[in-house]
Amino acid sequence: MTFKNILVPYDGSTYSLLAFNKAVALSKQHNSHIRVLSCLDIRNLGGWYIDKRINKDIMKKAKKITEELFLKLDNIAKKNAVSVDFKIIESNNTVKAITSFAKSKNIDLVIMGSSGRGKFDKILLGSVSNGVMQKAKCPVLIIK
Amino acid sequence: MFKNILVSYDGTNFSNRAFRKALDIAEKDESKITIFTVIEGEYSAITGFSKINIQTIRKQQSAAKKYIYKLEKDAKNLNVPISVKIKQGTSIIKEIISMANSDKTDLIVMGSHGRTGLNKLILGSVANGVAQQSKCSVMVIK
Repeated sequence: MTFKNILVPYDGSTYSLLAFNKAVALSKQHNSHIRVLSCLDIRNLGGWYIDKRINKDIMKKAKKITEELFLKLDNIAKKNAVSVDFKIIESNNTVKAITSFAKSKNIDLVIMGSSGRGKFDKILLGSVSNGVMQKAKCPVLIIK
Repeated sequence: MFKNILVSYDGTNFSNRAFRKALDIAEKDESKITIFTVIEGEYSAITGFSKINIQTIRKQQSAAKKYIYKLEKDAKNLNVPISVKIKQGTSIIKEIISMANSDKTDLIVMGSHGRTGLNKLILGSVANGVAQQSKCSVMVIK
């Protein structure tokens, strides 16, 4: 019944950092393994007149930025002696990518922030958190 | 980390599982569990949920206590401090959230589906409402 594998979807916002800290604290108590997942939106600028190499370049830069963000989390995890691994997924549908990842990797618990990068409202739940909560097959912990 | 845990309980399988998970966390974290049940009262098509009939509410309360008695035993075996609260109100979501605010809970643990509704694919209405509106962290068990 305990939490062996914990998934933390990370997007660099303060809420997701809070969620990661909670995950570290939980995994210290339960000896669990943390998986951090970042989902990159596939950007397609469209238009036949745009060089396709530009799209590839954008994705490359996005990957570099997320890897730099992961370094920060790695330091936190090393300080607390918690095992972590990182994964970057490219997809069009963030919610689907997170839920299918959780399903395939036998995740016992998803910990995520209540709202992400969107600035629209902090009162209600963010769209990604809401979607994951509705569709995931495992328990979901939402940090506010 | 989580000092006060609120478990909203309605006697279903999902909420039983939620209570188990809450025990798991509380055992390691040395936190306090509060079991919370809301009794709606009797429903009639004309007046809606009425508060008038005290007898039925008393009956429902004693039935709820019977369920919760078992849970108290499990918690005492694991040395987890536990308290039980039963309240009467018309809106379950509002009652749970006001309870969490006044009691300074850090975490609400609840099942994904309750007693009403037919769709098991998406989230139940109470779980959804609490997750949206609460000021503290929410854990939804499936």
